[in-house]
Amino acid sequence: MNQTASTPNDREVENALYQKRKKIYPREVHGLFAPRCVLGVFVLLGLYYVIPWVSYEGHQAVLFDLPARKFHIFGLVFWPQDFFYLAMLLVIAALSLFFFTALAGRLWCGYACPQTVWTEAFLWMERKIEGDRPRQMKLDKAPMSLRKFRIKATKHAVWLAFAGWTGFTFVGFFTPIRELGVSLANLSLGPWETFWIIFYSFATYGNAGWLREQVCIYMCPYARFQSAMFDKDTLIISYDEARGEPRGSRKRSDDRAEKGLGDCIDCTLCVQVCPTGIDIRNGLQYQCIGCAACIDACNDVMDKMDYPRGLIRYTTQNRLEGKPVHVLRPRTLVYGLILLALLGGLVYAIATRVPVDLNIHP
Amino acid sequence: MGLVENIYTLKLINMDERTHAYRLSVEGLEQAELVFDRDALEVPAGAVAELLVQVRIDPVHLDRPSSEIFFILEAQDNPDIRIRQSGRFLGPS
Repeated sequence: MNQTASTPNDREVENALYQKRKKIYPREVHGLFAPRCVLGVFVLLGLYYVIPWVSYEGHQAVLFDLPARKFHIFGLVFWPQDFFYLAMLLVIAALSLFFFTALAGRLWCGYACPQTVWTEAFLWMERKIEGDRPRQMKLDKAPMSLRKFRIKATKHAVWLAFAGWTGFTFVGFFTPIRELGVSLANLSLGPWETFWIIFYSFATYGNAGWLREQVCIYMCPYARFQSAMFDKDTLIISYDEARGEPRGSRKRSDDRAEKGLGDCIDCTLCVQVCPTGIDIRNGLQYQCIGCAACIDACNDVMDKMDYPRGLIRYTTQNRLEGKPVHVLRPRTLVYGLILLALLGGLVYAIATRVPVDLNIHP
Repeated sequence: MGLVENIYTLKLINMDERTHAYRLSVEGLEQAELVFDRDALEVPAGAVAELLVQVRIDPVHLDRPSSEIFFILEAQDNPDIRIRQSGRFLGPS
């Protein structure tokens, strides 16, 4: 049989399906939503790094003491008998995920997810050391030199130090952090403490420094089942095709109606700022984490062109189709009510719990 | 006639951050007598105390072979810390 048959062999199919990762250099963004993202990063990271150091009545305020089987959260002590509260908390977390996703899409991803938050911090460090987007791209294309090695080494050293601090803090939630610090300084850490500090440091360094959007695109299930949680009234980030097309560059003084052009000037800034590297003009894609960087970038350009803002904006599928908008609809109401009930129940249960247990045999 | 006696093993967990001295009483059977070691009811924070309790009653007062009784544990310094658990008292059938 002739090997050059019309059906491709496995190797050819594999090559056609496999795409080597292209490094994404998200361009820096300023605007309405970018400061909110930054605030989110500061507040969440601040809480993470500061809380283990907070004391309450002589002991660590938040300590998940696994060997003693007690979880301390300020004045509350949770025993294994209180496991029910943890289960309730997880159910509430899941329900709030459904509720907020139905309402406004991937708010969690763009503003609060640890992957996004730590990646933003790492990107900021990279930007400070390597320079802005064009500089970074130029440095990567250049051949290895002493200067390039020095810059890259600095960046990785800073990343590793930050990751090390993160790993240390993580273990500090489970072992009193001040004692941990002393052990670290004396190089007298126990084997398990050492293991977990190194593990979480490398996990942070790997996820935030190297993997970045690959986690969102390939590893996280949220991206894949979001389509089951959205409906036509969910707030999504969308490009107004009717307004923007046909796209094309033009001078500021040009009359776009005359030239038969839409508002999109094809500057591709929306693509350059995107941390997952998509083109939002192709419609909402599963990779979009809803960070609103493209909105800020486009609004900036619209301002410069003296066009109205909002060519890329938060909107709903129904609104784009000209249909009326329903924020309060069966889905959101039911999720919201159940969530409220469970939250109220949990708070009540914890508030009225009695710190004593009695078992009678027989 | 002798008294009827049931022996119970009570496990008490003080889940609070402070030591408490507790009071134990029984409900559901009048004329029942409670015998236990009072010192065992001083429980330090986070500790589990095990104590043997004997409940005695004259069988004259029992109207059925199996009665439901309630053990009430209350912290002496804080009446809000109070728990009520049920048990069964078995008399002669």
